[in-house]
Amino acid sequence: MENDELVQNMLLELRRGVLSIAVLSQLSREQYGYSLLKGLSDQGMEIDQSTLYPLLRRLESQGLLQSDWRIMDEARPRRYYVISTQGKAVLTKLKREWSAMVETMKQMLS
Amino acid sequence: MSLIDRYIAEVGRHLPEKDRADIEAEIRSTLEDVVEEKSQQRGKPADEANIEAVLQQFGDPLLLAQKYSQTKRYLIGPRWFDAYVDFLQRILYTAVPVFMIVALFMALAVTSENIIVVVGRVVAETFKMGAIVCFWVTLSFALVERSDARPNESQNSVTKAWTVSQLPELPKKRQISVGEAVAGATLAVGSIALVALSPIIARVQTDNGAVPLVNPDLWQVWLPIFFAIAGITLIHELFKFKIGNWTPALTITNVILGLVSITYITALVTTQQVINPEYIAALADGVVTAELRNAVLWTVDLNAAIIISIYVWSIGNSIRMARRFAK
Repeated sequence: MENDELVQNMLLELRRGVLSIAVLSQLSREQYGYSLLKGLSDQGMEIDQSTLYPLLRRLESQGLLQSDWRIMDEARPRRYYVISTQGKAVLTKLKREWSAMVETMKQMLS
Repeated sequence: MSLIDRYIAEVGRHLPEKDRADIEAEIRSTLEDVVEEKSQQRGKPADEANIEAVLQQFGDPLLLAQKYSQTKRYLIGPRWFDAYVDFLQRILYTAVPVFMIVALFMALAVTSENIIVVVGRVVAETFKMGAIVCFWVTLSFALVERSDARPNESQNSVTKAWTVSQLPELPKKRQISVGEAVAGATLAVGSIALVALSPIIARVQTDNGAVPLVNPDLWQVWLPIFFAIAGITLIHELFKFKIGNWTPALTITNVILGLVSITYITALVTTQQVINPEYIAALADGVVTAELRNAVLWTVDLNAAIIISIYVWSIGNSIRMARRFAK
Protein backbone atom coordinates (compact mmCIF):
# COMPACT_ATOMS: atom_id res chain seq x y z
CA MET A 1 0.00 0.00 0.00
CA GLU A 2 2.76 2.38 0.94
CA ASN A 3 4.57 1.65 -2.31
CA ASP A 4 1.42 2.35 -4.27
CA GLU A 5 1.33 5.84 -2.90
CA LEU A 6 5.01 6.39 -3.65
CA VAL A 7 4.53 5.19 -7.20
CA GLN A 8 1.51 7.44 -7.62
CA ASN A 9 3.47 10.47 -6.48
CA MET A 10 6.42 9.70 -8.72
CA LEU A 11 4.18 9.15 -11.71
CA LEU A 12 2.52 12.46 -10.99
CA GLU A 13 5.87 14.22 -11.06
CA LEU A 14 6.92 12.36 -14.17
CA ARG A 15 3.70 13.32 -15.92
CA ARG A 16 3.90 16.95 -14.89
CA GLY A 17 7.11 17.43 -16.86
CA VAL A 18 5.81 15.64 -19.92
CA LEU A 19 2.44 17.40 -20.00
CA SER A 20 3.81 20.73 -21.24
CA ILE A 21 5.40 18.98 -24.22
CA ALA A 22 2.23 17.01 -24.92
CA VAL A 23 0.07 20.13 -24.80
CA LEU A 24 2.42 22.15 -27.02
CA SER A 25 2.55 19.33 -29.54
CA GLN A 26 -1.24 19.24 -29.89
CA LEU A 27 -1.71 22.95 -30.41
CA SER A 28 -0.28 23.45 -33.86
CA ARG A 29 -3.96 23.56 -34.75
CA GLU A 30 -6.04 25.85 -32.59
CA GLN A 31 -8.27 24.17 -30.04
CA TYR A 32 -10.34 25.07 -27.02
CA GLY A 33 -9.73 23.52 -23.65
CA TYR A 34 -12.19 20.69 -23.66
CA SER A 35 -11.42 19.55 -27.21
CA LEU A 36 -7.73 19.49 -26.33
CA LEU A 37 -8.50 17.45 -23.23
CA LYS A 38 -10.46 14.93 -25.25
CA GLY A 39 -7.79 14.80 -27.91
CA LEU A 40 -5.09 14.06 -25.35
CA SER A 41 -7.29 11.50 -23.64
CA ASP A 42 -8.06 9.77 -26.95
CA GLN A 43 -4.35 9.35 -27.52
CA GLY A 44 -3.91 7.86 -24.08
CA MET A 45 -2.67 10.93 -22.22
CA GLU A 46 -5.13 11.31 -19.35
CA ILE A 47 -5.05 14.71 -17.67
CA ASP A 48 -7.11 16.31 -14.93
CA GLN A 49 -9.27 19.24 -15.93
CA SER A 50 -7.97 21.11 -12.93
CA THR A 51 -4.42 20.60 -14.21
CA LEU A 52 -4.91 21.34 -17.89
CA TYR A 53 -6.52 24.79 -17.70
CA PRO A 54 -4.04 26.35 -15.32
CA LEU A 55 -1.26 24.81 -17.42
CA LEU A 56 -2.64 26.40 -20.61
CA ARG A 57 -2.74 29.72 -18.87
CA ARG A 58 0.80 29.40 -17.63
CA LEU A 59 2.12 28.45 -21.06
CA GLU A 60 0.35 31.48 -22.47
CA SER A 61 1.85 33.79 -19.87
CA GLN A 62 5.26 32.39 -20.82
CA GLY A 63 4.59 33.39 -24.41
CA LEU A 64 4.45 29.83 -25.77
CA LEU A 65 0.74 29.94 -26.57
CA GLN A 66 -1.70 32.52 -27.88
CA SER A 67 -5.41 32.56 -27.10
CA ASP A 68 -8.59 34.20 -28.25
CA TRP A 69 -12.22 34.15 -27.28
CA ARG A 70 -14.02 33.10 -30.41
CA ILE A 71 -17.37 31.85 -31.63
CA MET A 72 -17.19 28.97 -34.07
CA ASP A 73 -19.93 26.91 -35.67
CA GLU A 74 -22.50 29.20 -34.05
CA ALA A 75 -21.74 27.70 -30.65
CA ARG A 76 -20.98 29.51 -27.41
CA PRO A 77 -17.85 31.65 -27.24
CA ARG A 78 -14.83 29.58 -26.28
CA ARG A 79 -11.23 30.34 -25.63
CA TYR A 80 -9.09 28.94 -28.42
CA TYR A 81 -5.41 28.25 -27.86
CA VAL A 82 -2.71 27.92 -30.51
CA ILE A 83 1.05 27.59 -30.33
CA SER A 84 3.07 30.80 -30.86
CA THR A 85 6.25 31.24 -32.90
CA GLN A 86 8.27 31.12 -29.72
CA GLY A 87 6.33 28.05 -28.66
CA LYS A 88 7.24 26.31 -31.91
CA ALA A 89 10.93 27.01 -31.41
CA VAL A 90 10.75 25.74 -27.84
CA LEU A 91 8.82 22.65 -28.88
CA THR A 92 11.44 21.76 -31.51
CA LYS A 93 14.16 21.84 -28.88
CA LEU A 94 12.06 19.92 -26.38
CA LYS A 95 11.29 17.24 -28.94
CA ARG A 96 14.97 16.70 -29.60
CA GLU A 97 15.74 16.47 -25.88
CA TRP A 98 12.84 14.13 -25.35
CA SER A 99 14.02 11.72 -28.06
CA ALA A 100 17.50 11.66 -26.57
CA MET A 101 16.06 11.05 -23.12
CA VAL A 102 13.87 8.21 -24.30
CA GLU A 103 16.86 6.65 -26.03
CA THR A 104 18.95 6.90 -22.88
CA MET A 105 16.22 5.49 -20.68
CA LYS A 106 15.63 2.64 -23.07
CA GLN A 107 19.26 1.62 -22.80
CA MET A 108 19.27 2.01 -19.05
CA LEU A 109 16.17 -0.01 -18.49
CA SER A 110 16.92 -2.82 -20.93
CA MET B 1 -27.24 26.16 -13.73
CA SER B 2 -27.18 27.48 -10.20
CA LEU B 3 -24.75 24.77 -9.10
CA ILE B 4 -22.29 25.88 -11.75
CA ASP B 5 -22.74 29.52 -10.69
CA ARG B 6 -22.02 28.60 -7.11
CA TYR B 7 -18.98 26.56 -8.09
CA ILE B 8 -17.55 29.37 -10.19
CA ALA B 9 -18.20 31.96 -7.51
CA GLU B 10 -16.35 29.77 -5.05
CA VAL B 11 -13.36 29.40 -7.36
CA GLY B 12 -13.38 33.14 -8.09
CA ARG B 13 -13.28 33.97 -4.42
CA HIS B 14 -9.78 32.51 -4.24
CA LEU B 15 -8.48 33.97 -7.49
CA PRO B 16 -6.34 37.07 -7.84
CA GLU B 17 -8.50 40.07 -8.68
CA LYS B 18 -6.99 40.92 -12.04
CA ASP B 19 -7.50 37.52 -13.69
CA ARG B 20 -10.73 36.66 -11.96
CA ALA B 21 -13.30 37.52 -14.64
CA ASP B 22 -11.26 35.93 -17.40
CA ILE B 23 -10.60 32.67 -15.59
CA GLU B 24 -14.19 32.47 -14.41
CA ALA B 25 -15.42 32.81 -18.01
CA GLU B 26 -13.08 30.10 -19.16
CA ILE B 27 -14.08 27.68 -16.43
CA ARG B 28 -17.73 28.35 -17.18
CA SER B 29 -17.32 27.68 -20.88
CA THR B 30 -15.44 24.49 -20.15
CA LEU B 31 -17.96 23.27 -17.62
CA GLU B 32 -20.73 23.89 -20.10
CA ASP B 33 -18.82 21.97 -22.75
CA VAL B 34 -18.46 18.98 -20.50
CA VAL B 35 -22.05 19.03 -19.27
CA GLU B 36 -23.32 19.38 -22.81
CA GLU B 37 -21.34 16.42 -24.02
CA LYS B 38 -22.33 14.24 -21.11
CA SER B 39 -25.97 14.92 -21.76
CA GLN B 40 -25.57 14.27 -25.47
CA GLN B 41 -24.02 10.92 -24.67
CA ARG B 42 -27.03 10.02 -22.58
CA GLY B 43 -29.44 11.47 -25.05
CA LYS B 44 -31.31 13.57 -22.50
CA PRO B 45 -30.93 17.15 -21.22
CA ALA B 46 -28.58 17.90 -18.35
CA ASP B 47 -30.09 17.52 -14.92
CA GLU B 48 -28.87 18.38 -11.47
CA ALA B 49 -27.22 15.00 -10.83
CA ASN B 50 -25.47 15.28 -14.13
CA ILE B 51 -23.97 18.64 -13.29
CA GLU B 52 -23.05 17.46 -9.83
CA ALA B 53 -20.99 14.62 -11.25
CA VAL B 54 -19.13 17.00 -13.57
CA LEU B 55 -18.36 19.42 -10.74
CA GLN B 56 -17.23 16.55 -8.56
CA GLN B 57 -14.78 15.62 -11.28
CA PHE B 58 -13.42 19.20 -11.37
CA GLY B 59 -12.74 18.89 -7.68
CA ASP B 60 -12.29 21.26 -4.77
CA PRO B 61 -12.76 24.87 -5.96
CA LEU B 62 -10.01 26.06 -3.61
CA LEU B 63 -7.47 23.65 -5.12
CA LEU B 64 -8.47 24.64 -8.63
CA ALA B 65 -8.04 28.32 -7.79
CA GLN B 66 -4.67 27.64 -6.20
CA LYS B 67 -3.43 26.03 -9.39
CA TYR B 68 -4.32 29.23 -11.25
CA SER B 69 -2.85 31.74 -8.91
CA GLN B 70 0.88 32.18 -9.07
CA THR B 71 1.20 34.34 -6.00
CA LYS B 72 3.32 32.98 -3.19
CA ARG B 73 1.41 30.98 -0.64
CA TYR B 74 4.13 31.16 1.98
CA LEU B 75 5.63 33.94 4.05
CA ILE B 76 9.32 33.23 3.63
CA GLY B 77 10.58 30.82 1.00
CA PRO B 78 13.68 28.62 0.91
CA ARG B 79 15.75 31.42 -0.64
CA TRP B 80 15.47 33.60 2.45
CA PHE B 81 14.68 31.09 5.16
CA ASP B 82 18.24 30.43 6.35
CA ALA B 83 19.06 34.12 6.50
CA TYR B 84 15.80 34.71 8.36
CA VAL B 85 16.48 32.12 11.05
CA ASP B 86 20.09 33.25 11.40
CA PHE B 87 19.14 36.90 11.74
CA LEU B 88 16.37 36.17 14.22
CA GLN B 89 18.68 34.09 16.37
CA ARG B 90 21.39 36.71 16.42
CA ILE B 91 19.08 39.56 17.26
CA LEU B 92 17.30 37.59 19.97
CA TYR B 93 20.55 36.36 21.52
CA THR B 94 21.97 39.87 21.72
CA ALA B 95 19.05 42.26 22.05
CA VAL B 96 17.00 40.32 24.59
CA PRO B 97 19.68 39.93 27.30
CA VAL B 98 20.91 43.50 26.82
CA PHE B 99 17.36 44.84 27.00
CA MET B 100 16.63 42.76 30.06
CA ILE B 101 19.74 43.85 31.96
CA VAL B 102 19.36 47.53 31.10
CA ALA B 103 15.65 47.47 31.92
CA LEU B 104 16.34 45.71 35.20
CA PHE B 105 18.92 48.26 36.30
CA MET B 106 16.76 51.17 35.27
CA ALA B 107 13.74 49.74 37.04
CA LEU B 108 15.70 49.00 40.20
CA ALA B 109 17.25 52.47 40.18
CA VAL B 110 13.97 54.36 40.19
CA THR B 111 11.64 52.09 42.11
CA SER B 112 11.28 51.33 45.75
CA GLU B 113 9.07 48.31 45.14
CA ASN B 114 9.81 44.74 46.11
CA ILE B 115 12.62 43.41 43.93
CA ILE B 116 10.65 40.27 42.97
CA VAL B 117 7.82 42.40 41.60
CA VAL B 118 10.29 44.49 39.61
CA VAL B 119 12.08 41.43 38.19
CA GLY B 120 8.75 39.88 37.23
CA ARG B 121 7.69 42.99 35.38
CA VAL B 122 11.03 43.26 33.58
CA VAL B 123 10.80 39.62 32.44
CA ALA B 124 7.29 40.22 31.13
CA GLU B 125 8.46 43.34 29.28
CA THR B 126 11.36 41.38 27.82
CA PHE B 127 8.98 38.75 26.42
CA LYS B 128 6.87 41.49 24.92
CA MET B 129 9.96 43.05 23.36
CA GLY B 130 11.03 39.67 21.95
CA ALA B 131 7.61 39.16 20.37
CA ILE B 132 7.73 42.60 18.79
CA VAL B 133 11.22 41.93 17.41
CA CYS B 134 10.06 38.59 15.94
CA PHE B 135 7.09 40.31 14.32
CA TRP B 136 9.08 43.05 12.61
CA VAL B 137 11.86 40.74 11.48
CA THR B 138 9.32 38.31 10.02
CA LEU B 139 7.40 41.08 8.32
CA SER B 140 10.60 42.52 6.84
CA PHE B 141 11.67 39.17 5.45
CA ALA B 142 8.18 38.50 4.08
CA LEU B 143 8.41 41.82 2.19
CA VAL B 144 11.90 41.07 0.94
CA GLU B 145 10.69 37.66 -0.21
CA ARG B 146 8.14 39.44 -2.39
CA SER B 147 10.69 41.80 -3.88
CA ASP B 148 13.21 40.87 -6.53
CA ALA B 149 16.09 40.95 -4.07
CA ARG B 150 18.24 37.91 -3.67
CA PRO B 151 20.42 36.89 -0.74
CA ASN B 152 24.15 37.56 -1.10
CA GLU B 153 25.14 34.04 -2.04
CA SER B 154 22.88 33.75 -5.03
CA GLN B 155 23.70 37.29 -6.11
CA ASN B 156 27.29 36.16 -6.49
CA SER B 157 26.29 33.17 -8.51
CA VAL B 158 24.30 35.39 -10.84
CA THR B 159 27.04 37.92 -11.51
CA LYS B 160 29.84 35.39 -11.79
CA ALA B 161 29.90 31.63 -11.86
CA TRP B 162 30.73 29.85 -8.65
CA THR B 163 34.20 28.36 -8.44
CA VAL B 164 35.77 25.98 -5.95
CA SER B 165 38.16 28.71 -4.82
CA GLN B 166 35.20 30.57 -3.32
CA LEU B 167 34.86 27.89 -0.67
CA PRO B 168 35.53 29.51 2.69
CA GLU B 169 38.25 28.07 4.91
CA LEU B 170 37.00 25.80 7.65
CA PRO B 171 36.72 27.92 10.77
CA LYS B 172 39.50 27.14 13.22
CA LYS B 173 38.34 26.02 16.58
CA ARG B 174 38.43 28.65 19.32
CA GLN B 175 41.52 28.30 21.45
CA ILE B 176 40.37 30.88 23.96
CA SER B 177 37.04 29.88 25.40
CA VAL B 178 34.44 32.55 26.03
CA GLY B 179 34.54 31.64 29.71
CA GLU B 180 38.29 32.21 29.89
CA ALA B 181 38.05 35.66 28.32
CA VAL B 182 35.07 36.64 30.45
CA ALA B 183 36.86 35.49 33.59
CA GLY B 184 39.93 37.52 32.59
CA ALA B 185 37.87 40.63 31.95
CA THR B 186 35.98 40.21 35.22
CA LEU B 187 39.27 39.84 37.07
CA ALA B 188 40.63 43.05 35.49
CA VAL B 189 37.48 45.02 36.34
CA GLY B 190 37.37 43.49 39.80
CA SER B 191 40.97 44.41 40.63
CA ILE B 192 40.50 47.96 39.39
CA ALA B 193 37.36 48.31 41.50
CA LEU B 194 38.98 46.71 44.51
CA VAL B 195 42.03 48.98 44.48
CA ALA B 196 40.03 52.10 43.64
CA LEU B 197 37.59 51.43 46.48
CA SER B 198 40.27 50.23 48.93
CA PRO B 199 40.38 53.57 50.86
CA ILE B 200 36.70 53.01 51.67
CA ILE B 201 36.40 49.26 52.05
CA ALA B 202 39.82 48.31 53.44
CA ARG B 203 40.54 50.57 56.39
CA VAL B 204 40.56 50.61 60.11
CA GLN B 205 39.08 53.29 62.36
CA THR B 206 41.36 54.84 64.92
CA ASP B 207 41.11 57.85 67.23
CA ASN B 208 42.91 59.90 64.58
CA GLY B 209 40.45 58.91 61.83
CA ALA B 210 40.40 56.14 59.24
CA VAL B 211 43.68 54.45 58.30
CA PRO B 212 43.71 52.73 54.90
CA LEU B 213 45.28 49.32 54.27
CA VAL B 214 47.02 50.40 51.06
CA ASN B 215 49.90 52.76 51.57
CA PRO B 216 48.56 56.26 50.65
CA ASP B 217 51.96 57.24 49.20
CA LEU B 218 51.32 54.81 46.34
CA TRP B 219 48.51 57.02 44.99
CA GLN B 220 51.11 59.46 43.66
CA VAL B 221 52.63 57.26 40.96
CA TRP B 222 52.31 53.55 41.55
CA LEU B 223 48.55 53.15 41.64
CA PRO B 224 47.90 55.29 38.53
CA ILE B 225 50.35 53.00 36.74
CA PHE B 226 48.42 50.02 38.13
CA PHE B 227 45.14 51.43 36.78
CA ALA B 228 46.74 51.95 33.38
CA ILE B 229 48.05 48.39 33.22
CA ALA B 230 44.75 46.92 34.45
CA GLY B 231 42.82 49.03 31.94
CA ILE B 232 44.98 47.80 29.09
CA THR B 233 44.57 44.25 30.40
CA LEU B 234 40.80 44.67 30.29
CA ILE B 235 40.95 45.78 26.63
CA HIS B 236 43.29 42.88 25.92
CA GLU B 237 40.77 40.45 27.42
CA LEU B 238 38.03 41.89 25.22
CA PHE B 239 40.22 41.30 22.17
CA LYS B 240 40.87 37.73 23.38
CA PHE B 241 37.12 37.27 23.50
CA LYS B 242 36.57 38.74 20.04
CA ILE B 243 39.46 37.03 18.24
CA GLY B 244 39.26 33.73 20.09
CA ASN B 245 42.62 32.44 18.91
CA TRP B 246 46.26 33.18 19.70
CA THR B 247 47.03 35.19 16.60
CA PRO B 248 50.53 36.75 16.36
CA ALA B 249 49.27 40.22 17.35
CA LEU B 250 47.32 38.91 20.30
CA THR B 251 50.22 36.76 21.47
CA ILE B 252 52.75 39.61 21.26
CA THR B 253 50.40 41.86 23.23
CA ASN B 254 49.96 39.13 25.80
CA VAL B 255 53.73 38.64 26.18
CA ILE B 256 54.45 42.36 26.46
CA LEU B 257 51.60 42.91 28.89
CA GLY B 258 52.79 39.95 30.97
CA LEU B 259 56.38 41.21 31.10
CA VAL B 260 55.26 44.73 32.00
CA SER B 261 53.03 43.38 34.75
CA ILE B 262 55.80 41.17 36.15
CA THR B 263 58.25 44.07 36.11
CA TYR B 264 55.70 46.33 37.79
CA ILE B 265 54.86 43.88 40.56
CA THR B 266 58.50 43.05 41.20
CA ALA B 267 59.46 46.73 41.38
CA LEU B 268 56.43 47.50 43.55
CA VAL B 269 57.05 44.90 46.22
CA THR B 270 60.82 45.35 46.30
CA THR B 271 60.97 49.16 46.40
CA GLN B 272 57.69 50.15 48.04
CA GLN B 273 55.83 49.44 51.22
CA VAL B 274 52.53 48.24 49.81
CA ILE B 275 50.81 47.82 53.14
CA ASN B 276 50.40 51.02 55.10
CA PRO B 277 52.73 50.84 58.20
CA GLU B 278 50.19 52.89 60.16
CA TYR B 279 47.54 50.28 59.36
CA ILE B 280 49.70 47.54 60.83
CA ALA B 281 50.38 49.70 63.83
CA ALA B 282 46.69 50.43 64.29
CA LEU B 283 45.83 46.76 64.10
CA ALA B 284 48.61 45.81 66.52
CA ASP B 285 47.66 48.56 68.97
CA GLY B 286 50.95 50.38 68.44
CA VAL B 287 53.19 47.43 69.29
CA VAL B 288 54.78 46.45 65.97
CA THR B 289 57.31 43.70 66.43
CA ALA B 290 59.88 42.66 63.81
CA GLU B 291 58.06 39.35 63.53
CA LEU B 292 54.80 41.00 62.62
CA ARG B 293 56.50 43.24 60.06
CA ASN B 294 58.19 40.22 58.50
CA ALA B 295 54.94 38.30 58.42
CA VAL B 296 53.23 41.14 56.53
CA LEU B 297 56.16 41.45 54.12
CA TRP B 298 56.14 37.72 53.57
CA THR B 299 52.42 37.68 52.81
CA VAL B 300 52.80 40.46 50.26
CA ASP B 301 55.77 38.73 48.63
CA LEU B 302 53.94 35.42 48.49
CA ASN B 303 50.95 37.03 46.76
CA ALA B 304 53.29 38.80 44.34
CA ALA B 305 55.06 35.50 43.60
CA ILE B 306 51.74 33.74 42.86
CA ILE B 307 50.62 36.53 40.53
CA ILE B 308 54.01 36.55 38.78
CA SER B 309 53.95 32.79 38.28
CA ILE B 310 50.44 33.08 36.73
CA TYR B 311 51.82 35.68 34.32
CA VAL B 312 54.78 33.44 33.47
CA TRP B 313 52.41 30.58 32.76
CA SER B 314 50.16 32.87 30.68
CA ILE B 315 53.12 34.03 28.57
CA GLY B 316 54.33 30.48 27.97
CA ASN B 317 50.84 29.20 27.26
CA SER B 318 50.08 31.94 24.73
CA ILE B 319 53.34 31.27 22.85
CA ARG B 320 52.66 27.54 22.81
CA MET B 321 49.09 28.10 21.57
CA ALA B 322 50.28 30.61 18.98
CA ARG B 323 52.62 27.98 17.51
CA ARG B 324 49.76 25.50 17.34
CA PHE B 325 47.50 28.10 15.75
CA ALA B 326 50.08 28.94 13.08
CA LYS B 327 50.13 25.34 11.88
